[in-house]
Amino acid sequence: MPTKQDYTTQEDVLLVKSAKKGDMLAFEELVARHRDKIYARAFSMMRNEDEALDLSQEAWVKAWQRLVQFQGDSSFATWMTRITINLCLDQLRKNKRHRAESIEVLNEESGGVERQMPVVNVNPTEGLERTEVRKRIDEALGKLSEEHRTVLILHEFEDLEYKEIAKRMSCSIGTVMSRLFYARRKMAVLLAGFKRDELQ
Amino acid sequence: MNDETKIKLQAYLDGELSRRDARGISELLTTDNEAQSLLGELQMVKSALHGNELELKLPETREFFWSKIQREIERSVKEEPTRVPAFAWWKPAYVRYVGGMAAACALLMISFIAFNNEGPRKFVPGEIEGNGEMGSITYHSNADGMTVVYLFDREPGKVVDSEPN
Repeated sequence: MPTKQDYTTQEDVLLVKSAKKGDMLAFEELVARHRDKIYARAFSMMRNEDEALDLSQEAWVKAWQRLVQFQGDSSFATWMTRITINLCLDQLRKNKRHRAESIEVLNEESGGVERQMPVVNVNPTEGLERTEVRKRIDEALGKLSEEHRTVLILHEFEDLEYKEIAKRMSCSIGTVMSRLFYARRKMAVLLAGFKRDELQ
Repeated sequence: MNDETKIKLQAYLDGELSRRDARGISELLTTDNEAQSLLGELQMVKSALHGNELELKLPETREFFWSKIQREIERSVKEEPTRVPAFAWWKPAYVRYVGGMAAACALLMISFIAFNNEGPRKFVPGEIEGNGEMGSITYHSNADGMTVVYLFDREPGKVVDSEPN
């Protein structure tokens, strides 16, 4: 009978193979390896610690139940992240149904103030430590609307194409392109704002 | 620059434009300063985000987080209704039905063989007697050594009983 220790040296592929046969210890090792990444993705989309924890836990339970469907076309981590993203998108849709759409959000969808914003010509992250860049990006992402943030995460962090994003977000490619455009413009302004604050 | 061109500019940056549209945007960029600036800004954001996602740690210990997942998995297994494979639901009925049919066929075969061993039998009609007053019909067959009496309620068609002799 293998012990927990034996699994730490095994590759994901082998762990998945064992887990598919019902080996819980192998699955536990997979959870231990990827839990931070999965939680981080859930948090980046939900911006709420409790929801991110619940959703990442749900994602792992779902993964165990659907493990037989994992064919290894992508890495296990990518497959897990996709499950998490889908759960987060479902949750965001549920949350949205419970609150009225404000005029501000509707404006953001179609560009709103970003239409009038002057182009940012200087790179506001230049010369910053990587940790600081990451912190600022996360802060800026937190200031975007859910739709803008989601589309940026899916495109820039998950490398999904417009078509794939549209499918996952249940909207048209045109909407994805528009949201991505205004999300980027707003990010530029927010990052420039942080830089200005720093200089002052 | 109109909105459509701006969106196309972004698609050009993301490599999602058709070859023809990409050529059009390339040409625009050689002459249009506004397009160049906008592309620069979009490019800056794209580069800034690339590989710069904040790394977070799950705020629970490995053991505690796993225990919650394990509990959920076990609970879902218990709650899951017993799934019978699609082919299995009719299996017991099928076995009973086929079994019964097979037994009947076997009996029929045995009877047939037994009858055939006695050789062909001639059909000998029996005698039928009716008694309207008594309300009975009697069938007698010497060949089978059998007498059957049907009793009825004088009204024809109402058979009351039958009794082998």
